[in-house]
Amino acid sequence: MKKLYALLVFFAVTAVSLSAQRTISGVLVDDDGLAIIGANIILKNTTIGTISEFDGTFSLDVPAGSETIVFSYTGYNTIEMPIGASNTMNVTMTLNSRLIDEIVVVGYSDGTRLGKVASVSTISSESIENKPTPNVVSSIQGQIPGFLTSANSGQPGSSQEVRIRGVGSITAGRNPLYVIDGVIVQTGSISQLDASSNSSDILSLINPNDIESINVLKDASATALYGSRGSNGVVVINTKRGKSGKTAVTLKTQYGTTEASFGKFSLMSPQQIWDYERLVLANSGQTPDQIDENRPESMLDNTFDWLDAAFRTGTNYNVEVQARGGNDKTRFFVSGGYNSIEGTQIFSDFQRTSLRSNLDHTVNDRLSFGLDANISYAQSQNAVNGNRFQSPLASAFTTSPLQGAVNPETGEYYVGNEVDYIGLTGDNFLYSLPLNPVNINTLRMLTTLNMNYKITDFLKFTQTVNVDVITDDSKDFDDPTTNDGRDDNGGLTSSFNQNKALTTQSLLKYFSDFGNGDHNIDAFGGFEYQRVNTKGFFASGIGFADGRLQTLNSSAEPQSLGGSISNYAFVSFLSQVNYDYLSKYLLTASFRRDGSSRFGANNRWGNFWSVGAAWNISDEEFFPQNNIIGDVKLKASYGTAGNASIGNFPSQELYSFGAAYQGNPGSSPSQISNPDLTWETSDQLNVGLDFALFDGKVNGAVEYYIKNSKNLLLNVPVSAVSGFNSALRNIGELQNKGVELTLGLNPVSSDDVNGFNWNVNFNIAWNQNKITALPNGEDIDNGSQIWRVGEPIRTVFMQSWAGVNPSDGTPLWHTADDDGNINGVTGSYNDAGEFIVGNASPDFTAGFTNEFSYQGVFLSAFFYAAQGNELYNGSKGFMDSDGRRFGWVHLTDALDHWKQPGDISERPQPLSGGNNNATSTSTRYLEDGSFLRLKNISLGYNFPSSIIDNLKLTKVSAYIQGTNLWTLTNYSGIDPEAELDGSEFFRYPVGKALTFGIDVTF
Amino acid sequence: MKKIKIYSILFFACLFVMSCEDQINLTPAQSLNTDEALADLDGLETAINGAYNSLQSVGYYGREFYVLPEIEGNLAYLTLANSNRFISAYTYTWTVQNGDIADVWNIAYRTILRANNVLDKIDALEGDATRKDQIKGEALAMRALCHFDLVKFFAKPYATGNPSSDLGVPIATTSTLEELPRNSVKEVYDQVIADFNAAGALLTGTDKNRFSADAVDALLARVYLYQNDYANAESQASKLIAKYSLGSDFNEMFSSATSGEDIFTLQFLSTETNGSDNHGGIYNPEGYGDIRATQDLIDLYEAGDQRNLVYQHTDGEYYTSKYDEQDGVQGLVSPKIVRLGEMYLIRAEARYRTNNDAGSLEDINTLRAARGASAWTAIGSFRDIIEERQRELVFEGHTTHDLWRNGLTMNRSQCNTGLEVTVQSCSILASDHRTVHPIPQDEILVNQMMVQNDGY
Repeated sequence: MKKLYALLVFFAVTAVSLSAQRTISGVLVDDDGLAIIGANIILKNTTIGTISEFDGTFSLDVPAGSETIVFSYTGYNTIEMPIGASNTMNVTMTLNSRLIDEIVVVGYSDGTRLGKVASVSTISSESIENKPTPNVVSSIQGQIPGFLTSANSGQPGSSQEVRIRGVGSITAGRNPLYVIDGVIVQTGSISQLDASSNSSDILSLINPNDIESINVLKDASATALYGSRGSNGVVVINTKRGKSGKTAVTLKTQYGTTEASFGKFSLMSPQQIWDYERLVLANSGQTPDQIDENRPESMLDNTFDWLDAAFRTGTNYNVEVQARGGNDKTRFFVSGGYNSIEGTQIFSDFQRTSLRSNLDHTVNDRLSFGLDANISYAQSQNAVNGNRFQSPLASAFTTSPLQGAVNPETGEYYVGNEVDYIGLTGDNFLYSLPLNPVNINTLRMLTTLNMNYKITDFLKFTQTVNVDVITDDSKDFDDPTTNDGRDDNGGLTSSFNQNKALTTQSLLKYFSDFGNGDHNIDAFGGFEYQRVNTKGFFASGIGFADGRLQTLNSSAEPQSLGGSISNYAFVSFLSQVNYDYLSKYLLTASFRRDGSSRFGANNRWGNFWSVGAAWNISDEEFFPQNNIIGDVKLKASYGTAGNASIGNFPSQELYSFGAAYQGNPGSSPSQISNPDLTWETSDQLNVGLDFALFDGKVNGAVEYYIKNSKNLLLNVPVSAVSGFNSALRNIGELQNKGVELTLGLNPVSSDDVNGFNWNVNFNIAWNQNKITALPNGEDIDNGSQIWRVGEPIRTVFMQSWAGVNPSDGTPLWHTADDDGNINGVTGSYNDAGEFIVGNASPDFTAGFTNEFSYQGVFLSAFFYAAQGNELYNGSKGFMDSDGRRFGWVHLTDALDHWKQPGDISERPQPLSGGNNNATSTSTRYLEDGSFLRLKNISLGYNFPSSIIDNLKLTKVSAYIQGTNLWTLTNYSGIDPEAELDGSEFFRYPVGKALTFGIDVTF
Repeated sequence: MKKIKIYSILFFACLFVMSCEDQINLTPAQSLNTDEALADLDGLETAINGAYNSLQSVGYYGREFYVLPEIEGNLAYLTLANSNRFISAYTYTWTVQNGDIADVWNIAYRTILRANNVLDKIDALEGDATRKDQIKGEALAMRALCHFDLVKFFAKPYATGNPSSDLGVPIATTSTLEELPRNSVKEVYDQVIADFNAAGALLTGTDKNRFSADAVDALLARVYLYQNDYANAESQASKLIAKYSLGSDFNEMFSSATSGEDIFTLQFLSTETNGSDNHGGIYNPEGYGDIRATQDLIDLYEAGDQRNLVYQHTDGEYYTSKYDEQDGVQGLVSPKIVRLGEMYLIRAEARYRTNNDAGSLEDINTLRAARGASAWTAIGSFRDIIEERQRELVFEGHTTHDLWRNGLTMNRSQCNTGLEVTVQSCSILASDHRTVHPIPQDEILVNQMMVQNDGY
C-alpha cells in the first residue's frame, strides 16, 4: 500500500506544478501532539498530494473549488477534512488499533509480515498507560483473548502469574517468556526473603508509561523463534522511542486511593461471636458455670475490629516527565518517574524511581546505533507472609473481636503473649508490625546497545549487546519485644543478591524484492548467547539490645550465614524467512537450535521450527467488491517450541550441604539422577481468519488452535520408602485447544476528531485442556485435584459433601462404588469416596470495552468475565468451621446451623474441636468461581486548543478512572479473580481503586 | 564478495559453536554429585551428620513423633482455644491424609536413605579403620532406630499381635526407587536387632549425642521389652545400669543435652532453634501452650517427687515445665532418645513379668529414691509399673506405646470437662484400630505393593 501511495505522490507532485491555484498548509500531529512525519496528504479523488515534513508540517497546492483533503498514515485512522475558507489546516490523527499489526515488533525482527501470519495480539500504550499498578502485566487481563493473569498478592509490585492459551505444563514453569526491546529478560522475585510470597517482582521495575506496545505471541510461527523457552507464549515489550520533529515534553501526575475489597466475606459481630461460642460450649457439654468462665460477659467490654485495623485506604501517587523528539540524525526518548504506592494492608508499600533514555543515532546511510538505558530503583516494605506470627493477614482473619487490641489497664497495645490474650498466633500485629519491618530494595540496570550496519542494499548486520543487572538488598528484622523476636532476643536477617545477565545477539538480515517488486523476501539468521549468573548471601544475627539497632553489627550473636551461586546459559542459532507475493500470499518459516546447561548431558541440544502462511482472499480478483465484506485473510501455522523453566540443574544426582549436626556440616541427597532430562516440547497448529465488514465498521479475527505439549516434566510420586517423595521425569502429555474471537465495532464514527465516536472491542477465548498421557496411565493425586488421563489438569477431585444428618447434626459424605459413582452416604470421612466434581480452569474468559468520545470528552468502560470454573474457598474452611476454630472469627453464615433433631441444615451442629471432620476438604467449600467485573472505567477530557494554545501547550488531558469497582459473582470468598490454580486461602486482596490524573504536553 | 562475507561469518559462528559446548556445561555451585559427595570418609561423616539432622525435623524427633503418643494418651489434653495443632490426634479423628502422620513416615524413611547411602559406599572406601567402623556403626544404628520407630507407629504391637503374620513396614536396606511391600512385624524386629547388634560391635565413640555402643545396648533393651523378650531386655538394661548412675537433678536434666543420666540424646544447639515450633513451645504458655497436664497426671505424683514438673500457671491451668528452655532459648529441647531412668523401668518390668517381684521392686525403689519419692513395700499390680513409667517418662513419647503393647485401655478421666477440645469417646481400647496409625494415603496411591492398616 505504501508503495502505491508513493507512486501517487509522485504523480501528484508532477500534477500540482501545472495548476496550482491555492495553498493549504498546516501541521499534522498525533494524539500526543507529536509531529507525524511522512503521512500521505492527498486531495480527494485526485492524484494531487504530498507527504508531511519532519516537523509534521505540510503544504499542498490545490485547484480552486477543491473540497476535501485526505490524510492517511500507516497505523492511524484516515481523516477526511473539508476545505473551508482558511488556508490553514491543523490535523490530529488518532491511532488505529485495527491496523496495529502493521507495526508489530516481535523481538528479533520488525516482523511486519510475520505479524500478518502469526497469532500475535497487540496492546498499544493507551491501554496500559496511567493505570494505578506498577506491574504492566496486570493491565493486559481481558484486553486480548487467551491471556489469563492474576496477582500473587495485593502487595504493590507483586508478581503476576500468567497463562497464555491454557496451562501448558504440569510441573515446570507456566509463565510466558518476557522480551524487552528484543532481549529475553529475567522476571520474578530474586529476594531470598520473598521466596514464598513472590510479592516483589523485578518486572515492576519497568515503568508501564515507558511502554509503546506489548505484543503477545501465541502461535508456533511466532514462538518457535524463542525455541526452548517459547512454549508458554512470549510477551514482547517495546518501549517508546524518539521521533524526529519538535520535542514533545509531557508531564504526568496521578493520585488515587484504593480500598481493600473483601467481596462477600462477612464476619460475625462481637455479640454474635460471643453468643455463638457460648452455644458451641453448651453443645459440647459444658455447664452454665463453665460457659460463664470461658466466655464471660466482660469479653464484650473490650472488643475490636481486627480486619478494619489491618487494612487502610491505600494511596497511589505517580509523577513523571517524558521528552520525545530528535532530528533526522538523532532521536531520543527520555523519561523519569516516581511512583509511590501505599498498599491497603498496613505497612505494605512500594516506591519506584525509574529513569530511561532510549537514543537512536544514524551515522550515515550504512551505520546506525541505539542505546537504551533503564535504571530503576524500588523500595518496598512487604506484607508479611501469612505463616508469620506478625502477619496481619493471618491475624486479621483469625483474631477474635472479643480480644481487644489495647490493654485497658495500661492503655498500651497487647504484645500478644499475655496469658489471657486469645489469638491464634499469640501476637498482636498492631504492636509488632511497626517494630518488625521487612524491606526489599531492588535496583535494576537494563541496558541494550544496538548496532546496525547495512552491508549492501539488501543485507544488514545487527549486533545487540544487553546487560541486565539486578541487585536486591533485603532486611527482615524481629524486635526483641515481639513474639517473633522474643525467643532470640531480637533477630535480623540481611540478604544481598545479584543477578547478572549478559546477552549478545548477532543477526544478519536480508531483504529483497524482485519481479517488479511483486515478490518480497526478508530473512535473517544469527546467533544468540545468554548467560545468567545468580549470586547471593545472607547473614542473620540474634540478640539485640534495642529494637532501634537494626544492623548486624548490633547483634550479640551471629546466627546463620548462607550464600548461594547458581548459573545457567543458553546458546542459540536462529533464523527466519518471510516471503510475500503482492501482499496476497505470505509465507514464513523459522528455525532455532538451543543448547542449555539446564538440560541433561544426553539431551543438551534441541531444534525448534515453524512454518506459516497467510492468504489475503479479498485481494483476489474473483473476490466480490462490495461494502459488506471488505478484507478477508486466512492464515495457518504449525510449529514447535519448548519450555526450559525446569530449574538450573534438574538432571544431576545431587547431595546438598545445608544440614548440620552438632555444629558440623551435614549433607543430604537432594535430587535423583536423570541424565535424560530435557526441556518440554509443544507443537501447535493455529488457523485464523481476519475480516473487515461494512466498510470497516466491523473488523475481527477468529482463531482456532490445538497445542500438544509433550515430554512434560512431572514430579512423579515415588514410594516414600525410597527416602524421596517424587522424582522428576519427562513423561506427561497435555493438550490445549481453543477458539479465540476478537471483534471491533465502530457503530458511530465521525470524520471530525471532535465528533461523536463510539468504539467497541470484544474478545472471548474458550480453552479446553486435557491430560493425554501420564506415567503408566496412573492417576496422580494433587491435593484437592487429580491428574488423570483424559481430564483437564485442574480437575477438582475431592470428597462429596452430602449435607447434615437431620437426626444428630453430624456431617455426611457420599460413598463411591468401584466405578466411582455415588452409592450412598457415610458419616465417616475416611469412608467417603472421592469424585471428580469440577474444573478449576474457566470454560471461557471475555473482555468487553466500550469507548466514547465527543468534543474532547472520552469515556471508556472495560469489563472482564470468566465463566465456569470451580474455586475452593479455603478461607471459608477456617472461618465456617462448626466450632473447630474456636476462639477465632467466624463468618456470619455460620450462624445458620443444625440445632435440633429434624433440622435440615447446611451446617452441622457446632462443637468444640469441630464436628467429626466436617471441615476436611470436600465440596462443602467448593464454589462456582465465575464472575463479571468492571475492571476499569475512565472518564477524561482533552482540553480544546482554544484554551491550551494560549497557554503555549500542545495537549492537556485530565481523567478519572476506577479499577475493579463492580463485580458480579456468586462466589462467597474474597476475590474470584485471585487464583489461577483453583484454591483461595487468606490473601492480600487486590483493591478497588479510584485515580485522578492530568497529562500536560508542551 | 558478498558470499565471502556471509561464509566468513558462518565460519566464525561455527568456531563459536565449538566453544559453546563449554559455555553450557555448568555445574552447580552448592551441591555435589552423589559420587563426589560420598567419595571419602570425610564425605561419609558429613552424610551421616545429615542423617542426624533429619532426626531433628519437627515432624520427627523435633516434635511430632514425641508429642503424638502423649496427646493420644490420658496424661495431656488439648486446650479448647488452641493453635489447631494435634486436634485430630487428641480426638482420634485423623484421616489417611493426616500431615503429622505422613511426616513420621516420610522423614523416618528419608533418614534411612541417608544412612543407607553411607552403608552402600563405606565398605569400598579406604581410611582409618576405627573411624570407618564408627561411621558404619552410626549408620546401622540410625537405620535400626528408624525402622523400630516406624514399626511401633504403623503396625500392631509385637507383644500382643501375631508378629509373623501382622504387617510391619517395608525394610529398606539400600537406596532404591523400587516399590517395596510391607514386611511382617517380626521381620522388621529381626532387622532392627540385627542392625543394632552389628552397630554395637563397630561403635567405639562415647559422645552421648551420637550413637554409641551404650546407646545401642539401651535401645536394644527397649526393643526386647517391646517383644516381651524379658531375659534379653533385662540383660541389656543391666549393662547400662552397671555403667551409669542415677543422681542428676531431674528438672535440670531436661535443659541439658549431656546430663549424667543421658545415654543417647539428640543435641539441638541454640542456633538450631525452630522458634515457635520448638518442641517445648507446644507445652509452654509462652509458646503455643496448646497441650497441658491432666488431672490424671497430677494425681500420679506424691509430694516430694521431683518428677512432678506440673505447675499451675497464672491462667489457672496446669502445664508441664519439662521443656521450658535450653541455653536460654524458650521451648528448645534436646530430646533424650534413651536415658538411664528407662533402663531401671525396663528391668523392673522384665523382672516383674518373669516373676522376680523382689528384683523389680528393688529397681523401682532405686529409681524412686533418686527422684525423692517414697519407697514401695510391694508392687501391687502390673499397672503400678506402667504408672511409674508415666511418672518418669511422661512427654517423652512413651505413653500410648506402653499401653498398647501391654493391651491396656487408654482411659481419660479428665475428659469433655469444658477445658479440652471435645472428644467422642473418653477411652480407647487397645483393640481399637486407631491404636495403629494409617499408612499415609500418598504411599498407598503410589506404591502398588502397599497395604493399608485395618479400619482405614
